[in-house]
Amino acid sequence: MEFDALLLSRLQFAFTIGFHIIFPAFTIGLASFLAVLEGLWLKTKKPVYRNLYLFWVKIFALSFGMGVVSGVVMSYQLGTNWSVFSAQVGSVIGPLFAYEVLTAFFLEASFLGIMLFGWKRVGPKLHFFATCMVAIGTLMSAFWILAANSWMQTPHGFAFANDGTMVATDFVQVIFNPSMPIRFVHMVLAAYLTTAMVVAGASAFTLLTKKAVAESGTALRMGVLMMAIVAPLQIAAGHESGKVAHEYQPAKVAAMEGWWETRTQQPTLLFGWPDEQAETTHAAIGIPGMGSWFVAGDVNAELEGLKAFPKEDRPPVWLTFWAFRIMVAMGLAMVALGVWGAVVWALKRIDRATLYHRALVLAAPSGFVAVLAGWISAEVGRQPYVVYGVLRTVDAVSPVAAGAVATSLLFFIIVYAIVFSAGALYILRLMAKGPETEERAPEDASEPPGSPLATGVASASAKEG
Amino acid sequence: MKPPTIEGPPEPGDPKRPLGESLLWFAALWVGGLVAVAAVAYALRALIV
Repeated sequence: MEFDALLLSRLQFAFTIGFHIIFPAFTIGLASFLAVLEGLWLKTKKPVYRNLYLFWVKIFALSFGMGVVSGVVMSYQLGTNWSVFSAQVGSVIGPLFAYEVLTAFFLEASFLGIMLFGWKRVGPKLHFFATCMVAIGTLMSAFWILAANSWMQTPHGFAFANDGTMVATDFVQVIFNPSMPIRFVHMVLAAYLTTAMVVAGASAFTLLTKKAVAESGTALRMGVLMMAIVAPLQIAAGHESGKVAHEYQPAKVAAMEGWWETRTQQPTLLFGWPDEQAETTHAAIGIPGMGSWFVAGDVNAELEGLKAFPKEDRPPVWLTFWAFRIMVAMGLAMVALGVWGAVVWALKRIDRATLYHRALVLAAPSGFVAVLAGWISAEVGRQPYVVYGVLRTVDAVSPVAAGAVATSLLFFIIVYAIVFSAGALYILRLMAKGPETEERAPEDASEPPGSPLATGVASASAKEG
Repeated sequence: MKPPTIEGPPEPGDPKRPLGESLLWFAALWVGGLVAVAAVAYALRALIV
């Protein structure tokens, strides 16, 4: 493997987008969570919703800021490291990025001021309107970014101009390209699930440490409800996304599944070690026919393996294969936690299910891991193209020296390690502290925290004990 | 005591602001946010153009 400008530019983009994506993946869901909390507070006037809002809005503001900072770096790289890509496809996807800034980013960023500093000044209803605008802005932002990225996966509605650059012939087809609708759904559900896991994990932690019991119990229920509903939906959305990917990017799906031979009854591999030199997957353990059934709805369907594609058109297999498995494993773990949560809730034990709370704390980052693994399998699986089937990655890189890219990559690693570690640690400290509450602190260790709910929980525990 | 940076909702005893004043604050904060974003965007643009 040669560390040339191409590989270093890819590593740099992967590094910066890897940091960036975790923030929007969190804030998209968190903005909607805040809108729901404020709506519930407006309707019921229960202080628990206000306290939760004021707690999570701080974390939202920090995450939003870090998302903006890390996003700016990425747009610069399109010019510095991927200038040929920008020149070739700028007329097609440049407007999508512009729409994202004009319609989504400005919406969320400008209403954020009211959200943070204006509750007393503008009053509850106008403040709720601002929170909703921020939530809608985050969703619109996801829409435009997914439109641009999906166009790179399944390019439609464009033609080549006389100078060889691509121009849009139909912007509706560019935006609503074949993979865009289901990838947008998949990403938004991933964001909601990521937020649900963090909210449930943080609330479980504060319940374990007996802080803000009423607030933590409410947020835990909201997180578990979201998990129980969204995790199965996400599995279904991922399945549909896989079917679209197979239709338009069969080599990517073959790499995700570790299929080398074209055959009927393609298996679903639970484990394996893909070997690109030997063109096989070692130690494969799979369920025969399940792959064909998942993708084509028929166990006897004949599906292409990687050998059906010229070597120069195949994506890196090992990374795509394992990233996909990690994403699916995280998804299944979230479904299991959702079911577990629903069961303990139905048994009225959700506030004192210590083992479940510990599992939730452990699983709090699972949404981020799933988003990153999913992103890697989608983007590495798109290789060796930057615009699938149209523009190869090797032909899209800037004519820059490897040393220059290595220097900027090193700089990014150092700066990101300092800035984002500090930000992430501060957020973790806030989460560990828990929401402000009207609960009276216990005067001795045997006394429960003072909310009616907490007292009820403690009494129930005492009776059972 | 220093008021919190992130503002909470009006307390039950707080006098209600007139609608016109609330709307003015709403517009001022929104425009303020917009101007802040635009200023940062143009400053960044000036760095590279």
